[in-house]
Amino acid sequence: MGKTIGIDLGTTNTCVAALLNGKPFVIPSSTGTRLIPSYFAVTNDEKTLIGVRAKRQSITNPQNTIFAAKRLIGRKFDSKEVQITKGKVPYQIVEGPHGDARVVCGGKTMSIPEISAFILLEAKNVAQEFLEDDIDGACITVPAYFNETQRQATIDAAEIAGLKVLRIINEPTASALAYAQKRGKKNELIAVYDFGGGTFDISILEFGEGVYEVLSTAGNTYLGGEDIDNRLIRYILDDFKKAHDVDLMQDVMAMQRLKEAAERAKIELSSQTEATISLPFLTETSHGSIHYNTVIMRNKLEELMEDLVRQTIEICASTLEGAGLKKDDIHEVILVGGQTRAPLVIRKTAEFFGKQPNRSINPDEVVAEGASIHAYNIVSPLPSNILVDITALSLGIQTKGGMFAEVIPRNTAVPVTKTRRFTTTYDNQDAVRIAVYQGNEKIAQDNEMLGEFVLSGIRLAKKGDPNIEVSFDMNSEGILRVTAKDADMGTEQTVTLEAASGLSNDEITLMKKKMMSLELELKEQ
Amino acid sequence: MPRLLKQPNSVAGLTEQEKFVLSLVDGKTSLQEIARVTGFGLTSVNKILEKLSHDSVIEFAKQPSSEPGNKPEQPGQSIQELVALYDNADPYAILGVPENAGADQIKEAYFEKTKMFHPDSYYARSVPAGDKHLLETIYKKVQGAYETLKNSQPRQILKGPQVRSPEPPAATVRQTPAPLQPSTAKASAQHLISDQIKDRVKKAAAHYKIGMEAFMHNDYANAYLNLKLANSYNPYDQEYLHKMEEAEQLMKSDRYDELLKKADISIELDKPDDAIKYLKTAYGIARDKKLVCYKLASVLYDFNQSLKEAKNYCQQAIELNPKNPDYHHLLARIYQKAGLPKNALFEYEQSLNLGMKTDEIKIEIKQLKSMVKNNG
Ligand SMILES: Nc1ncnc2c1ncn2[C@@H]1O[C@H](COP(=O)(O)OP(=O)(O)OP(=O)(O)O)[C@@H](O)[C@H]1O
Ligand SMILES: [Mg+2]
Repeated sequence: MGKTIGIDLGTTNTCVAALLNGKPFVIPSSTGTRLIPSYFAVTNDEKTLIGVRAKRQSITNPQNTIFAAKRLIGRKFDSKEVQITKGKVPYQIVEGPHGDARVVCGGKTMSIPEISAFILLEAKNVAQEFLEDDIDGACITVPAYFNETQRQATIDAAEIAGLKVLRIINEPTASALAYAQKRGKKNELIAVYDFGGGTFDISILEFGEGVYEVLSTAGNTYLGGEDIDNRLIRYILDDFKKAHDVDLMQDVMAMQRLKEAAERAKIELSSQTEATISLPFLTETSHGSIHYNTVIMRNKLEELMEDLVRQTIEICASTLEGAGLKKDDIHEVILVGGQTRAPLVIRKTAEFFGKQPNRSINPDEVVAEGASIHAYNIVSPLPSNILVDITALSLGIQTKGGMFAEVIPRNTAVPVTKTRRFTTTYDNQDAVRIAVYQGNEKIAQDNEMLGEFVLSGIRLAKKGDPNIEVSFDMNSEGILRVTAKDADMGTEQTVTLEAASGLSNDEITLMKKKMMSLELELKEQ
Repeated sequence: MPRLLKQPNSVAGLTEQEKFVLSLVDGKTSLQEIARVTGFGLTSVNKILEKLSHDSVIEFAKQPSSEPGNKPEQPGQSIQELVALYDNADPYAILGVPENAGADQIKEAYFEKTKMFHPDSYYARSVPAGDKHLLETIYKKVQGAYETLKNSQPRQILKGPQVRSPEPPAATVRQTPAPLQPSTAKASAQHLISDQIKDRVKKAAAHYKIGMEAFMHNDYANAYLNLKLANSYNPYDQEYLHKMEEAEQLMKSDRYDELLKKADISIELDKPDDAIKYLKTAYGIARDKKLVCYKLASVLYDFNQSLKEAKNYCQQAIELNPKNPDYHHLLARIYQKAGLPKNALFEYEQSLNLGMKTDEIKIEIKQLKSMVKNNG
């Protein structure tokens, strides 16, 4: 039997961990680093690069270097989120054959799961090489706020990479598992505040004897450290324009250098009160080269990011309220994600929860550690702790007036079966359309549509008379079955909704083959 | 209903199966449930429980309760019947609590049932897929019952730590980020870095210690992994490096021995493919390759696999030790089979000269000589 691993597939960094001596540890790559940049690139001479190698050449090859793929995974091309990302990245985003977002890299169109597959493959190889053993399966983490489509796309990515997925678990939940393991057995209520590169998540958990129960979770998949970088970039662009009357936005290479410099300055400002940005030969004009030098004060950065941090705190407040809890009920606040190193974040969370947050764990590694604990636990015949996780997004159907009617409300423990009664909207209606959506918006269309079907043969009656029972069954593999039934007539219609990730099975098989043939080439680098 | 008489972890000498069954004994879980959850089947569970009861680890007790699992047990009760019991029960019965149960009691019961029926708890067990599915439906019932009862009670938090555990003072200092003065900023950054280094050195030392312990117990694979980690956290300590290399060697020779053994067994079982696979892996890690080369050549020859490959391995063995008559003898037979009598003759003569003076070889040589002569 081989080994199991945990993978934190992050927006900016990916981390892989395994269990040794009963404790999780992050697996170093052959170069000794513990984080794999979530970067993928194809060079001019058609070489495929992953991780550090890809990141290193991103400045000189911005159009063919894909990063932040997690922001696109499982998303429709015309979704608001993809359109926002389009304006922020130097590579090209196009519409795929199934309406999914795809990227152009090295002159070829690639699906997002394929890009993520390369990063997962790198993680798997790092683990395989270090452990000198086969990898039997992995637990991969996603933001709690990922919908079924995004989860399925992540599973597809693993499939393409030839990696067996044991479970997909939520990032904050994984952090909590790692924390629990370090703290030993103890009953407590904890809050996990995870502010990463691309997403923000908050979860409240209760640790009991042998059972960890997630009580409530919320977040924003479009709020992260990169948004803070972008604030700083915008500030510098304005400054530059004022000083030189040049719009840097048009210069892809300059923008890439600026992006790097801005992030570096932001990170420096977590431990220092001022940071210098120095970018010689940043751009060329008819008057010659322009060198850019400036000093950013911590105060300035905090002013620029203040409202983003406030948004996270507002989500914390509503989450606590939703769970029927007071701030004082929380025994421990755990900070996770690289962005929580920023003093402003520490200050604001301490202020809100009324206690100093716990920072004893490594915010970059804890998610992968937790995932590795879960992976190990699940394949052992006697798991030491059972994790009860919840759905962060409601599941339901569209009803009269386009409204969304929940069948499985958010924050419900899974697996679960729930039934709700509906009725007809006009007299002698003999069929209804059941359109299944997932999300937390009141209007059905604002949520993610998972599928639809028609129940016909309804008893002819006055409107509002028939009893139509709609039940949702979400199993432990995350597969949703929806059944609609006329309770009086007994007519029934069931569909199994496998979230469409934007890839067909044939496409996945094809990509998997391609990946296997590339694997050797990658290993030889 | 089996009930514990002793602390389960105080009982020594139990088999894995017995430990597993014992872990589910809590005075509330029925035989059927244990049988289903473990996947061992009713008869084996019965046997194990009887043994445990004989050893006074547990006792069988009947306690009246509204819990569905506590209904009189009929031998051979199927999982469908178990599901039916849960199906027709009210929330209290499902969780097995009295109707006046408080929030704490409800939660405790819920946790117990969760440990038993949550899909993660039998993910890796050899329970048939259909049964897993049924167990999952029971879990959904448990979950539903808990939701109903929880919401009818005022929320209660588990008793957490009344006294906050004191944080190490150093950490507290860092947790209160007083605005830094420019003059101290650099120093603080350095402080941060040196903290990180200290942390790595500490981790390295911890892994080194565990690694050395495994080393002492001849668990070289484990020792190697720990020492490798120690090295990756602290690449400057020569001692770590040396010990890691030592462990690596020993681990590999351990694995080498094991692979050869496995190959021998596979040969005995008439499974040449497996044998070849093991031998090739052993070839990859062997420091002294002549034996494994010879073995590979023999298997390839004996089981009529690729003669060319057999020849290559055998030649390699001879290169590494030209003085072994067995190697030449094997090569001779390979040549003979491949229809190369001249080469075969040469190799037979080699093995004869090296001391393999059997009649068989002498006859072979005679026959081959006349054959070579006849063919001109
Ligand atoms: N010392 C620091 N101070 C401030 N920000 C930091 C620091 N170190 C890293 N970051 C920021 O943290 C972010 C990366 O965090 P992390 O690695 O946790 O994200 P991720 O897991 O890749 O993303 P996500 O969890 O959102 O998918 C980046 O935006 C990075 O700039
Ligand atoms: Mg993260």
